[in-house]
Formats: sequence, structure tokens, C-alpha cells
Amino acid sequence: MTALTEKLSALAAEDDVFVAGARVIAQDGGQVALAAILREIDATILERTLVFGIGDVSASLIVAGRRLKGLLSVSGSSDAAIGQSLSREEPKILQAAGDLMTSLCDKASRVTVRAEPIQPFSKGGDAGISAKGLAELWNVDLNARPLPPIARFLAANASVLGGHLLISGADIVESAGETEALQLIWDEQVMTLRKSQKAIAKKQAGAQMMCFDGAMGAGTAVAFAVAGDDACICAFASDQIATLTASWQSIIS
Amino acid sequence: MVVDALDRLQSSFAGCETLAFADLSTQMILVTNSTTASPRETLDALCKEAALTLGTKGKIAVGSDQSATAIVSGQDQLRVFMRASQEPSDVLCCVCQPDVDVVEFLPAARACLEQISGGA
Repeated sequence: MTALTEKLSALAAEDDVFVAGARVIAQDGGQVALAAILREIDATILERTLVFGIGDVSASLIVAGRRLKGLLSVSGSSDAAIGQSLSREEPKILQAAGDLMTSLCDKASRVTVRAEPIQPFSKGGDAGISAKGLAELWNVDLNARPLPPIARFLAANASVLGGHLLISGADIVESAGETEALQLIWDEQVMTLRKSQKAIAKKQAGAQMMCFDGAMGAGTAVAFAVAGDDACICAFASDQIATLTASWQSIIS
Repeated sequence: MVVDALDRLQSSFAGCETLAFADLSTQMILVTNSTTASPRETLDALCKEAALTLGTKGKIAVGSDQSATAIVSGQDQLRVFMRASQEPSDVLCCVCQPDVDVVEFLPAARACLEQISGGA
């Protein structure tokens, strides 16, 4: 039944990405990840066990009425907050739960969620804490959202880029470093190349990056990427080509 | 044999699907790894993409200099094109799953190409 529910959910959601039956809710760690978890709690009315995949860790949370009742289990952890009902009358447990969730999210590169049936939890009669209440207590901006793929790629690799242009629609919305040659390449070569490449590789769709080792001479590579309405072109040392490609792969996967 | 070198590289990387050794001057695929499932049309398109991204007969795809390596990284596939250092018409075309370990794969593919092109 659970498998069927997961498949129906996947079919109903146009933009959602699923990994092994779990919906991806964040592709970043830190505040963005914790905010995404709190938004899932805020969207859960009926009592459920929400199983979050936070990086390599699996955290099962008991949630009902848009409130977090407690942490049922966290793989690899025996933190004192696990198994305890959350209540404002127990601020130390509440803070310990917040510290644990924060530390898990800080280390995560991706967060997924899967809803499972309710499981026996603490005997306490507490209703739990609302997602908004948790956001205030744990200092989380509930509206924290991940950057779009191109902006995330540029931010993640800022230290190795010699220059870049970020283009949204037809407008350059951000530039950094040496951009004169990049602008020329973008204006005179990229569109022609993309048109020819699309004619050859007809089936490809979605976000794409193309890297060219040594294209600007003297060991300097060029890459350009397109994702939705956003695009970028950047220059970097050729020996960083694998690292930058791996970074792009992790962002669009 | 060339096919053995390609097979060794392909079997070393989970997610590496097709390897093709090609001649850019004639734009012909010469040898592929023995287990590739790619039909001839796909291989021909791969060779055309290698010619486009690496450039042929002095033509440059992007920038001011010809590239020795070009990478096309998408959500469904990662394609790598490499030109041999001593014989610029010799190229290796690689089709991989998008989650292939590209940091490990690129030097291994480069070593494979240089070995094949050098006739070792």
C-alpha cells in the first residue's frame, strides 16, 4: 500500500524529484534543509511518521496537526532528545532536538522525505510544537529556499572561477572577475554551438553544462551551463574541470 | 588490442556505458567497447558531437584555442570527448551515467586514450 501511495504521489507531482521512493525536498544543507523539514511538518495534518533522509542519516519524526510531537529515531545517534515528547515545558529537550536536527542538516547535501504510518511513541499527552513555533525556537527562516541551479553552481565554485556571467532570460544579471572574453564567447560562439549540438543530440533535455579544457589558452577552461531560463558562462583553471563537472552533477542530480 | 583497453576502462567504472575510439579527420568510429548497446546511429551522432566540441581542421568550437577535452554534462548522461596529445585526430568518446565518478574517470580515460593512440 505504501509503495502504491508513493507511486501515486510521484505521478501527481509534476516538479518533484524522487530518489528511491523518497521525495527530494532540499538539495542543500544548513538553514535551507532545516526550513524544508519544518515546511513538511507544517504541511502534515494527519498523524504520520515522516522519515527524513538527511544526507546518510535517516530521522523518523512523529508529526500530527502541523506539529512535531517528537523524534522517534535517528540512525547512528542516541541523543537524549530521541524518544521524548516535545513540549515548551521541557525547554532543554526542545533545544537538544533543535541542536540535533541543526547538526544533521549542516552536514547534509540533500534531504528527502517519505511518509509512513504512525508508530507507537512516548506515552506523554503533549500535542507537540507547531512548525512555526519550532522555527522561532530554533532560529530558522521558514521561507529559506534553495538558490536556482545556476546560481547555486556559481556560489559553490566562486573560489575557483576566474570570471563569470549569470544570464537570466536575455539579461546579464551578475558578473564577476574577468568577463570581457566571456562576453565575446557568449555573444559570438555559444548560441551557434548550442544550435548545432541540439541538432546532433536530439533526445537530451533539461539542465546541461558544456566544459572546454584550455579553450581560453594558457590552461584556462571555459564552461557554459543552461537550466530553465538561467544560463552562465565561466572561466577557470583547466585542472579544475573534473571538480567543477562533479559539482554540476551533484546540483542537477 | 584497442578493444581490450576500452573494455578495461569501461569495466573499471560503474556508470560507464559506451567508449568509442574515433578518427576525427574522417569522423569515423573505429572501435567501441565490446559490450556497448549503442546502435550505429547513436555512435555516428557521438562522433559528430566530438567533432563539434573538439573542433576539426583547425576550427575552434569555443574560445580561442582547441580543447583537448570537452564535457557535456546533462541530467540523463555525461559525455566526455578527448583528443590524443600526439595525434590530434585520435579521439575517445565516452558515454556515462550522470553519477559516474568524473574526478576518477577523466584521468583514467586520458591514460587509456594515450595508450591506444601511442600504439602501446
